[in-house]
Amino acid sequence: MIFSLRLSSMLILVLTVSLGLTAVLSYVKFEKALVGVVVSRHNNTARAVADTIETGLTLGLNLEEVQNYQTFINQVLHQHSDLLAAAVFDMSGRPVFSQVREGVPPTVRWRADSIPTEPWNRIGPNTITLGQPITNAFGRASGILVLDFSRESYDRPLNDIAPFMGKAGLVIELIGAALAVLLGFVLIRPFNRSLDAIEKEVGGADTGSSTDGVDGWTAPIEEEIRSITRSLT
Amino acid sequence: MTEERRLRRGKLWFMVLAVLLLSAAQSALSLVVVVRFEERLLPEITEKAELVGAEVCARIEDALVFDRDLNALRGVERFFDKVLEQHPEMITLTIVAPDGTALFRRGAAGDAAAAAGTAAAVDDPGHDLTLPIHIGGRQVGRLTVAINHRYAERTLREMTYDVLTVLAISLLITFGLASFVIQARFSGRIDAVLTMMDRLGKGDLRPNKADGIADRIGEVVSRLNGVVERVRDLYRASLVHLESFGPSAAAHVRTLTDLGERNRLNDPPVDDTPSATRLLALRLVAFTFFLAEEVIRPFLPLYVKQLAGDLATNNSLISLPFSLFIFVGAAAQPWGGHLSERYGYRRTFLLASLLSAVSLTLIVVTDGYWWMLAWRIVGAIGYGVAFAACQGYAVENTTPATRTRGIAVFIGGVMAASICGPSIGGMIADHLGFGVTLLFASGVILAAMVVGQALMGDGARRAKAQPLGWRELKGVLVNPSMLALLMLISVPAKILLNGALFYLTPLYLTSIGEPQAVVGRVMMVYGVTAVLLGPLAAGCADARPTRHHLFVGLGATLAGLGLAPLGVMPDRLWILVAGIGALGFGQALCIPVQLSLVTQFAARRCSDLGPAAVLGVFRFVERAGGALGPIVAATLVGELGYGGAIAAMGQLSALCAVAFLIAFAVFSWKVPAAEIGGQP
Repeated sequence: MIFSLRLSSMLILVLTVSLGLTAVLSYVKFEKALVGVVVSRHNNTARAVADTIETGLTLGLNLEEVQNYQTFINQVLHQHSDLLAAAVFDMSGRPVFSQVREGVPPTVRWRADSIPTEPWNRIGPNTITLGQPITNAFGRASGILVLDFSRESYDRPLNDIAPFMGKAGLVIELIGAALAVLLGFVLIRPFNRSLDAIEKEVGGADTGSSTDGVDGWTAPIEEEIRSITRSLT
Repeated sequence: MTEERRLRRGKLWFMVLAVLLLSAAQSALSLVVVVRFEERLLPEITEKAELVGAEVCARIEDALVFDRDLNALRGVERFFDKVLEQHPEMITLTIVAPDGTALFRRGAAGDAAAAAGTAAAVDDPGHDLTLPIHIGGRQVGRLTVAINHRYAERTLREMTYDVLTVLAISLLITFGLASFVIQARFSGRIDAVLTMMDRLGKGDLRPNKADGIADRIGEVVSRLNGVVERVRDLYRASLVHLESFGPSAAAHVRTLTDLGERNRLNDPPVDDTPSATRLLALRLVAFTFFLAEEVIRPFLPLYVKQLAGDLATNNSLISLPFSLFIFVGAAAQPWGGHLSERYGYRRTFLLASLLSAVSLTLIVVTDGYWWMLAWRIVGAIGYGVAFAACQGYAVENTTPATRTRGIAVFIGGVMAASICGPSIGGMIADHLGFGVTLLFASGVILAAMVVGQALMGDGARRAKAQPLGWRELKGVLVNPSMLALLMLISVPAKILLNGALFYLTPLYLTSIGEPQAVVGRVMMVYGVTAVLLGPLAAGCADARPTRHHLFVGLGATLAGLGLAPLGVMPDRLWILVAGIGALGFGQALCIPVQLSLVTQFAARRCSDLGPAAVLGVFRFVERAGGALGPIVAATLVGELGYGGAIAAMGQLSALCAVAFLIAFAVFSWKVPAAEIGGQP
């Protein structure tokens, strides 16, 4: 009984590890796929906003010389409910235009030496941030547009998937555990039969009185030792 | 014997049913997860199409501010083409006039649109979108968007493949763990009891090193040990008693001492653990150790590039850490083998692991390209020495009759690590960054050290093993059969692997437009085939010990010929996949048997230097030769294209294998069936 439970518990342990591994790795894969879709969607907004800004720079003006960008940034924030903050930085890292939705603390800080020249994104603890470089009519980098989006569209599916996977994993674990216990009881038989036979063969080993089993194998040696001793005394 | 058979059958049934249970549970979880993933991801894809559609509408409305006639708009087609190119979620964009006339339409007709033939019929509220176009609050037309269902399906299919990959990785880890646990805790311990009983029956009265587990098996061991200790106590007491009589009892003392020696009554306790348990333990140790190196593989080139900074423009400097790692790792193997023979497998493995763990940690702690290079060299020494120690331990715990299977178990662990590691490493690096992943890898090696300390043994050390110098190295190689094996089988196989699979296949797949995920999965076919079929092939080889050369020759031929059809049909993905499967199977058939053959071809050298050192020399030459793979591939690809070059490399490798078989037959090389290594 205890032996079969040990066997079952080993199996349940391996089952738990394997289901945990499958769940964690699958979750990470889903998260990666979701990041791809969500970032691609936000990227569309970022690209459209950057295009509009770049159109304004076609005359060779600098960012700060264009008057109506602050109004445009405000409009963009108004049009996209999931956009929390938007800012345009010049190449020295100074914010030229920016707007933050009411009640949202600004999260973006730049140093002059860290202006990326490629589009980038970052999934932060509170926001999804996208950076879109802005180039002027001559193809030279003029600054960068940084948009902070709400994580809601990202968190919603994740918050749904995590408990679902937990529940599904638990149900499968319970069914698997029940089967493992059953397997333990059924499949322990050959092991038990082998052990029964071994124990029978070992026989009264602990009593030292039987001539069967292991005592039978060692008896001649013991007898030989005794006879050597006896022959002297 | 009956017990052994019953036990074997019981173990087999248990393994089969346990594997079924574990596979069913993991597959069930993967299935429900895939369904749920699809449900959650599809709306996100559709939502993006809606958003892009709204952006397009806004642009059209902006344009209409200047020119209020939809019909008169210019450049719409070009604009639509750009939008469709940037957003593969959409397949057709159409501007429809209020009377239903399609004014502008770009893109391939969507399924619904193609079936109906009119723009108005594109309106399928289930999938496609209709967005009104306004001027000053008045609707002047509408934009219809046909969603690219194939794109959505492809995205979801990709995710399903990802989940299946996860399932395969998870199953590999699970089965390694399950087979070790069952062997170590149950069947292996019963085998040990049977071995002890067999020993006692033959008069070998050494006690068994009890594992301290209090269960039925533990009780039987205790009872057997109790009887043995009783006899040993009697022997010791009798000896003291006889010695107390002084010189007059010398003859009796001698008789009793002879009896003690004959029945090993003074010998220390012995470990009766069967070699199968030790080999499965080795597989676990090897898997854990080599997982660490595989975990950092996906991002290491990028990390090196980052560290190189301004030096990154020099491609040789970027590839230097990788070539040096391979070369130093291979060169360290003969000495790793030698150290294992002298100081024990476990100690050598632990030392090598420590080197590797320290090197990975110091890569993170210190900054700069040259420091990283230095630590990678230290790591390569650790890698090579650990590989040699594990390989030697596998040989130590087998007899010629079981050697191929034993080596296949070890190689299976290394292969499983190469399948699982990159995926796990990629995920950790994505979430936590390169530095944390390197530290994680270092932690994995520390875990391997704990597992190695607990499960590996030092083996029968050969303190008098010859020192390893150039002459000894040369001595191993100046052996015609060994040279033929190296030059016609091992080196061509490594050239094929490094050149055709690792170098050309990713380039080829990228050239035909396959994404990185597909490249990863296609490459995985090699490892999965080798892991699954390797043990079966090794079992067949061990059952035919005089035919080992045939397994090696035919395996290498199959590995090469499998890729040959690519020369005729270079653009068929399934042919490449089948070829890589054949490569995996062929190499699984020949790699463990090769090592077995080495210990037989170089039997005398093995007893002088130890098998680990000889195998280290063999591996060094094999890997050094394998470094030619990318060079050969790059030379051929210019003339033959990717498919042609892969096929040509396969054919050359197959030709070499046939030449080996012919040489074996012509020179009538014999395979000596000498016992090599320690007690299994």
